[in-house]
Amino acid sequence: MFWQIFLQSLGLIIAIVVAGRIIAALARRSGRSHDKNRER
Amino acid sequence: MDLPLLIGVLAYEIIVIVGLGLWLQRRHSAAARDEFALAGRDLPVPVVAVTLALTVLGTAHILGVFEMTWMMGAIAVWFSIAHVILLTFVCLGTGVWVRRLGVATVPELLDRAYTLEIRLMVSCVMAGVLFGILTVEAQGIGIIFATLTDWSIQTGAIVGGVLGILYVIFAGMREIGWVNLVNAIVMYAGLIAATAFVGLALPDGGYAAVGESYRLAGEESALSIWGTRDLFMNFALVNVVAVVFSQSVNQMLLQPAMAAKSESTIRKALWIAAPINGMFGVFAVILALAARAQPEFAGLPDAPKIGVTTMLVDYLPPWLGALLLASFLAAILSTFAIIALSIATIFTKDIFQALYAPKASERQLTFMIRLVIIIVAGVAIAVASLLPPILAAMIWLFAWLVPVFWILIAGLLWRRNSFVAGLTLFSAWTANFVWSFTSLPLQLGFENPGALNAYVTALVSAGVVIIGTIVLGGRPGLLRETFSASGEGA
Repeated sequence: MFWQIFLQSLGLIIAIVVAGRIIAALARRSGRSHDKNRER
Repeated sequence: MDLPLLIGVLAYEIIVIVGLGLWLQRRHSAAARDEFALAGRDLPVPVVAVTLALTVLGTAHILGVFEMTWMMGAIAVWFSIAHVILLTFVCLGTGVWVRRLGVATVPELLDRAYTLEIRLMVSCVMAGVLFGILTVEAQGIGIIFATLTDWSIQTGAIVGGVLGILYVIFAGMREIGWVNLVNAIVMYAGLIAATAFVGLALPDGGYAAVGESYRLAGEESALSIWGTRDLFMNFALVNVVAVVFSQSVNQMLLQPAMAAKSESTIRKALWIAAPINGMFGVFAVILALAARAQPEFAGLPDAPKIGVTTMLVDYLPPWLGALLLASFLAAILSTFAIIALSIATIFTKDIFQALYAPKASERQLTFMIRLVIIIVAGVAIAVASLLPPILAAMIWLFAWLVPVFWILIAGLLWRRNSFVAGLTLFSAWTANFVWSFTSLPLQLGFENPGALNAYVTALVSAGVVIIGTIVLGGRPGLLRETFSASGEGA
């Protein structure tokens, strides 16, 4: 019981952080290309 | 608990807090710009990470998660998971944005995006909400003392409140940060040791037997962090919405981000902050599941509230009880201290300096922050002795910050119209007031309206800000203007 809850939760926490970083990186990239388009 | 052990815990807290506080106070001049409230904006990754994690880890994470696990099972860990999502949003979004714009308070940011009037309205409400949370934390310290020693809740709240003031009064944010770093180690040592010791003390084979007893009772879903479909929709998701929408713009969580050395410090801090905050709830859930499976604790009157702490006192040797008390104190005192600092920073920067003393020196501002910390902490301890209900109070208080989230996101990333922002705040706060203090929800057929305040304010504020901005338009968002000027991306 201990390891089941511990590992499930730890996996979920890491997944949330990684997903957050991927979304933030995508948002940064689209923000940059949006700005470049506007400059052109 | 033995008197010598209790004295040992208090001596440890005083030595760490006062020792580190005085040492930091001597090394850094209070006359330096933003030194007291924002640690001169040079905190490194580990200090920012631990402070972010401990700021939103307080009474509700300990007493609330014990009680929720007792009633719902392992899905209570979603209270912690909601905070992990919150920390992700802050470390990659709102925290980075406030650091980039160089503001000292959230209301100051609203002044830059909108007007002084919006800044003042939000200052007053945000300080009020923070004060409410401060009273809850003071009560939490009192309850922890009362269960692990033979003190009354009131005595515990007074002793804890004094420690909380010492936690911040010498060197402000820098003191909170470094004391947090030391305390986080003690906190996890206490938590891991207590969980291991309970595992050894449990009858018939430790945690494996606990799992088996739930399976035999046909309650296997209590062991899953996903719970049942109904619980996931009505508890897990509700927590995520309430926590992320209200806390991601709260001064108490953004102040450590404002004090970070750089934007990348905040982004890196997420890797440490998320597991420190999230895993605390996991240990709390496991302890609560173990207590509920033991008939002698499950049969106690008011078991959800006192079952777990009774088990801890019964099973743990006194030295480990003392370590656990130090661990819980670390969690709650850090929250108490930073809330007191946030209220004082808002009052000093957004009201005292903005309205009455625009040319005040850094020393005068630091004096004012210290004075307000002592006053609000003192009054909060007095109010805590009246024992308002903890979780209901938190949910109600959070709802007041939801419209601030919407006008801040719109004002930074989309369009900003001061009239629409004012109307959003007015409509959402009126709705919250009507929902809480009239019979309207009952007439509409809602039997438990208290839990829905965050939804009501979220719907009203999102509706007003989106429709109002589409109809009336507005200037481009503050960050869009800043990016265009500097050529940077989000």
